[in-house]
Amino acid sequence: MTDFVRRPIVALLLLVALNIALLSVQIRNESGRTLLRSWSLSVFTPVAWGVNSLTGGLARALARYVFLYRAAEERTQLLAENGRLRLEVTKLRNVEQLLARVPDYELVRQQYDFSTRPAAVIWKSPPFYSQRLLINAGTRQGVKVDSAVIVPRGIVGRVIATTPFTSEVELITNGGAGAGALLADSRLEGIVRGDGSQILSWNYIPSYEKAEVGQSIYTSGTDRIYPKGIPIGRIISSTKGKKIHREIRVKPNVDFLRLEEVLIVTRN
Amino acid sequence: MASRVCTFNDPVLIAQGFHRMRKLNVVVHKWEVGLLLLVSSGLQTLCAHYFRVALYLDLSLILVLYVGWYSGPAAGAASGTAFGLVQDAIYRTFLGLNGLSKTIAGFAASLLSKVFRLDDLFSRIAVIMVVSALDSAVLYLMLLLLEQDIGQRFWLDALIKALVTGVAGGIGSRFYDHFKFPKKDFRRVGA
Repeated sequence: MTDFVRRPIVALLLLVALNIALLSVQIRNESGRTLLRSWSLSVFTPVAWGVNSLTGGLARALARYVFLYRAAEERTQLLAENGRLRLEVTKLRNVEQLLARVPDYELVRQQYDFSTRPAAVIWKSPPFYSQRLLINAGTRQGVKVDSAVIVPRGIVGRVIATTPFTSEVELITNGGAGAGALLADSRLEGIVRGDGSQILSWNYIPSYEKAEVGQSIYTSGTDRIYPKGIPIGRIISSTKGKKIHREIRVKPNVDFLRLEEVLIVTRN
Repeated sequence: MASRVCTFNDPVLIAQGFHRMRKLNVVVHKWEVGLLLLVSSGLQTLCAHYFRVALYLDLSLILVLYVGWYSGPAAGAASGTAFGLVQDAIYRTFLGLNGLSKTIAGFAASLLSKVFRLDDLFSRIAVIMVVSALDSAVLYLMLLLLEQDIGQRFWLDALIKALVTGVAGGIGSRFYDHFKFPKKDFRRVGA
């Protein structure tokens, strides 16, 4: 080992790497991240992409040509769901026509009107380390830092770094992550925060307000990241705190351990 | 005497006893490198604060090349890192910028000393000028890669620096050699 390190070319490479590492931790890019982090993301992207393509391709091939025993059952379920959704669309169209006559309709419509782009999760960080994902859509697909990432069941997180073809997503459950939230029934507003566990806390709700177990909370749109009206989760505990605020715990609707595909909000 | 490209494997030179030059590879001691580092840091700090024109003379580069000539490539690169990082700290630039360029310069100097005869003044001046230009090119590339502002006079300054450093380094290193090896007659090395 010592002989290996003493080889001139190895010594040169080690010293060059040391200097580059020193430089990269001092200099930050436009989004305030150190170059070391940006470079490591750029280097890691092809690896994650390759592994994901290989395993994904294999899984798809197996699902398409081998494991067909549940296809008929799934088809029946999808047909039933399709019928139910058609009915719901008709109902929503009627509501929209009704709302169009209300003043300030345009303002209301803008809040709920956003477009999304699907992306696959190609890498997940270990749960004990940090709550982050890598997805296969980047700046070339219109993804920007702070783009919201959602699934139909609820919010997932926000984009914190991008490369041309991939983006890094911070989950809402990560320590320090947060979103504006409101209670579906009473329109009570607060902020949900992650703490690194799979449960969120809902802060700044006064003790005298009612927030009961089982109630659903949605995004309020006040954080300017998540569009208004996206489900977040359900209250699983609500107690009067020692101070002026309630201590409320929220179980997210999304199962973050089983995320495979997400939607990126590209226009809000 | 004009400089001449040769190698240690050149049979003519071996016959002339040129292999004795190999002994020079062990003449720079660790304490001496430390002392040179200390003296150069002091001088560069003074120049950086009171006499900025003197910064065209890249003292660190000269010392890195000197250590590189008289030691192996790994030691040359290591001394390059040390001198470069100290220079970065004195100039208040990003730590590692000069560290990187001087590392490569120290490594290159050591390799060059194995290929070229560097015992006469003009070959030393030429080599220092070339390595100084290489040092500036590495700096330029790093600044480009790190998306930092590069002054419009960068290459003009690099050229002046190479000339000043080359001449001063050539004369200075010869003088230091005479001071260090008083009995050595460099005209009779091959005799």
